[in-house]
Amino acid sequence: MNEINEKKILLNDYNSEFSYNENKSNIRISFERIAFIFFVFFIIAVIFSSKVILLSLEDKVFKKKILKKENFRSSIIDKEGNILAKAVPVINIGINPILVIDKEKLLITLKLLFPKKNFQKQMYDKKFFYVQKKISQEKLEKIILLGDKSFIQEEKIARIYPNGELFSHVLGQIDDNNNGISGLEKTFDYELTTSRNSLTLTLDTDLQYLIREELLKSKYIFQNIGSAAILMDVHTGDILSMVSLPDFDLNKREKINDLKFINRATKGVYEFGSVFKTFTIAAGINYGVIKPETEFKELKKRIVCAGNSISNYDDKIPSNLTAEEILIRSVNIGSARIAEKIGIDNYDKFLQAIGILTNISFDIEEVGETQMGRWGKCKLLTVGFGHGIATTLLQLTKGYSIVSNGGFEIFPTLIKKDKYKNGKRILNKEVSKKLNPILRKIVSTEEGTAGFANVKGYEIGGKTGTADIATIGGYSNKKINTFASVFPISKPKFALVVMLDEPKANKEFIYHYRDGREPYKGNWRNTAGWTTVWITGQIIEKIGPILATKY
Amino acid sequence: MRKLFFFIPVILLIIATTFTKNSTKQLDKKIFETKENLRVLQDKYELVMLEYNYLTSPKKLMEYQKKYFDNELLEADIESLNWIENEDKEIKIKKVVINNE
Repeated sequence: MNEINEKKILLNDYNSEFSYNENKSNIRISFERIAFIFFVFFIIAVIFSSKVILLSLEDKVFKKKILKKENFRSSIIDKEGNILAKAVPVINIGINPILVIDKEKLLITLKLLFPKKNFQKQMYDKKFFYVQKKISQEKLEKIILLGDKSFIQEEKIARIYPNGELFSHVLGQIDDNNNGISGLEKTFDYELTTSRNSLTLTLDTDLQYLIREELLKSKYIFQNIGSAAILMDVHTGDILSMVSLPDFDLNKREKINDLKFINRATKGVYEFGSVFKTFTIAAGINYGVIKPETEFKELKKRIVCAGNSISNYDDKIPSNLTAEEILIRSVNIGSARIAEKIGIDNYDKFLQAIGILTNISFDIEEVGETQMGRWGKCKLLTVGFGHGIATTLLQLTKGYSIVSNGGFEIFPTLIKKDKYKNGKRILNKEVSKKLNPILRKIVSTEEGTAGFANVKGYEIGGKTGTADIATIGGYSNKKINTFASVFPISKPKFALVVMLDEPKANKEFIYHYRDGREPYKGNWRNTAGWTTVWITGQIIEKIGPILATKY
Repeated sequence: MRKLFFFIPVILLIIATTFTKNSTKQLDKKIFETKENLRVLQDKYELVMLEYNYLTSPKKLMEYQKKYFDNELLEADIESLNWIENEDKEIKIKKVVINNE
């Protein structure tokens, strides 16, 4: 602090805390700034890079989300190049009432153009309304000539299905905004709306038509509430035909909510019964537990497990049978004994391998899941003859293809591929070699249950399955009748599995035997042998010449 | 002189690039036009195919059969079908289905 005296001036040295030093740290300060800016940019770069990486990983999903759909959708064609679904441009005509100058005059004009429609109410509302969706060229020209600016044209696409209901469950539907909402239209929505190439399927229109026709006939003969059939190439997994009834006309664009329209070939899950015995024998051969000639002596007529009784469908079946005879005569107790010999671990492994217990990856989303519950001693016995396990017809067809094709893995598909790789062998090669002749005997011998399918020249082999439909706490007297066939059995090429949902015995129907015996009328047996096998025989007779000459 | 040797090729390259770019632009335009024309033709072809597929669909064919050839068309028996093959200028007839049983 300075003090001022009149006489003297005392000058004290000013001591300040401030001291000036040559700033040697200037460079350091700017370096820190640069480092800071660099750090900020580095963080931004990291954030953006990670976002770019993330987006590149989710490339397809991202594109799907941001893509504004054009009025375009590729065609779907069958194996032979026939169009199954095609998008055609259409024009919807609407009116915005706010833009109308003379409403009365326009109403008169509309009445002349559309005599059956009345637009009185909509015209005096303020909301936009459609005058005509998918308008004809002729009417469109008339409207354009009116020169009224209140008419609004909207360009859309309409999907045309030239075969109507024939492929309804497979193709699925699209909504008004060109989005696939079911079937292949949904699964391949992105591909169909971005690629100009048609989607080629493995299906054959002629085969699909012939199989559907026979299934429709079955409804009249056996009064079944529904039915399904799958025809598959046993070596490639290509599905040549997939029919599920009842179906619906895709061109009508109806909302399908009724459960009766369920896709019985892929979504419906059923206990198929004795068709599973084939898998039991196949598993036994695969693990070396049995041979076709292995004898089972003193088979009981009835066994009880956990309070539930297991018996054969026919009490006259002998007590001493070989494994082969057990399958041919469809013996429940014998199959249960074989399953017991195989054991839970091996049987579970086998069913996993052939795709019965694993969720199937398929080209449409409407796929059911196997229902079985936990393995146990009694479960093993019942699964051995096809009860206590519910699966889809698609999985059943896949299983039959694998056990008959030499034991090679296949993946069922509806999409045609350019190249096919050989599937890896998942079963012992002895399985098909020993099993296929037994399947043939089921069709060709008197003891077998599938004589009606013994169509001359086709060497059909197969197994029937008649199962009671499960209800809460037990079983009803309603049936699921199935026949899983493979042909020609000496060199298997196709698997055809047909299922009838709740068929009834027809006492008026006349059965014509294929071996020249007198026709038989008045059947009371509601079993697969008298219903599904008959239909399968008719189907193979019709599709056989096409398969033999085209494939 | 050295600079001249450097600049002349550069200028020549620039001119060549300009011409090339211009001509590729023309080509690009032509390719685009051709592709668009093809697309229109493809659309037309698909519409004709759609009509053809509809008229020759199995359902329609069965209708025609009932209407015009009720008793004339017969189902083919698989065992009566044969392949005709030309092997070394020799025509051979083989069965479509050989019964192994």
